[in-house]
Amino acid sequence: MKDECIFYKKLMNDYLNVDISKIEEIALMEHIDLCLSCRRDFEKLRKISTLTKEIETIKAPENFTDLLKNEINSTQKKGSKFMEIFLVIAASIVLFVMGFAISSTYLVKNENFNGTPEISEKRSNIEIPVKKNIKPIKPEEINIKNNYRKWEKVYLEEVSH
Amino acid sequence: MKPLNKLKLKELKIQDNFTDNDLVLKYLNGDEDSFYTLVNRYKDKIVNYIYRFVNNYEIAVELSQETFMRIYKYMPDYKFDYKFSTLIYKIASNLSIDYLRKEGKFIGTEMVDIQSLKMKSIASPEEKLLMEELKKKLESEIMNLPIIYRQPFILKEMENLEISQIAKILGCKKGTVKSRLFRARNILKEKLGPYFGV
Ligand SMILES: [Zn+2]
Repeated sequence: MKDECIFYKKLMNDYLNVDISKIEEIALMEHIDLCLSCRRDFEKLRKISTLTKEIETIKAPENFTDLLKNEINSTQKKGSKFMEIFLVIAASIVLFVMGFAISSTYLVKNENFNGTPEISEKRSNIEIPVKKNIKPIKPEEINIKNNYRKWEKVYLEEVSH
Repeated sequence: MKPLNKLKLKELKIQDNFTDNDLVLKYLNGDEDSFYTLVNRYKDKIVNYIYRFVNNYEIAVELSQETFMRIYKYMPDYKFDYKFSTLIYKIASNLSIDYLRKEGKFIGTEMVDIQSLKMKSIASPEEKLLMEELKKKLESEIMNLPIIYRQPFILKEMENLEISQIAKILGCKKGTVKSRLFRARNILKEKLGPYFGV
């Protein structure tokens, strides 16, 4: 193969790609007229290109679009069912978390207010009236000696009988 | 029933006048039918394209369905950076290659036995028959091209796409596409040359 032929082989490729300028095309045709080897190659390549375009193309089946429609519709239904379940689960989680959050912030608020949680304050509400009726005992009122003597008196009486 | 069908047919004909981009826009604005007009426009091309790689009609149809499913899911995020056709051939190319990789058939190395066909001139019915045989021979030789040469060859010679579009589909430079086409044509020339009788 002559060196210049390499250049024209590239032009043949461009010609078949329909990616060639008019000047290049003229140059190619002139070379082909003169060079037997390139002419033979070009004829073969052109035949391959023409024959390829004549090969019967494969067609999609008649029901192709309907099949696709069904597939799309069924995935959408599946998707929405999944979405439904997902939403129900998500909603219950949200409700649970919200309920927990509300009750715990309420507890925290009460704790901050008087240092005791709400539950014990409720209990203290019951105790308060009882406590109110008990007269606080002053330290000086506690007289152990007197109490002991009372007990001693009762005991001695029981024994002596 | 009949007037409805006629109306539907008329609608479809009107849809046919829209460009791919128009149909994508119509679909994005809520017209579901526009998507199926695109499907009808490309289904044969995509089935044919994929068939040239997987060499099995059922699988070609299955992968084509998958191609359209993927593009359907992609539609809400559609960007107009690519032509619709580029995008669909790109997805089809990737799915075909994934399939071939899974099947361990990524490189079409298996050879088809060449029957001795002698061709001299084109005219008589006998020679027409030879022409048909030659076409079959060419078809099987195309199927035997290594994938990297087969892809641009089919996109160019069967699907009639431009080099720049093929480059985008295959994710390579125009120069690479051209040199792969050069290689593909020369392999076919070597395989079939003796039967042309030029
Ligand atoms: Zn030459």
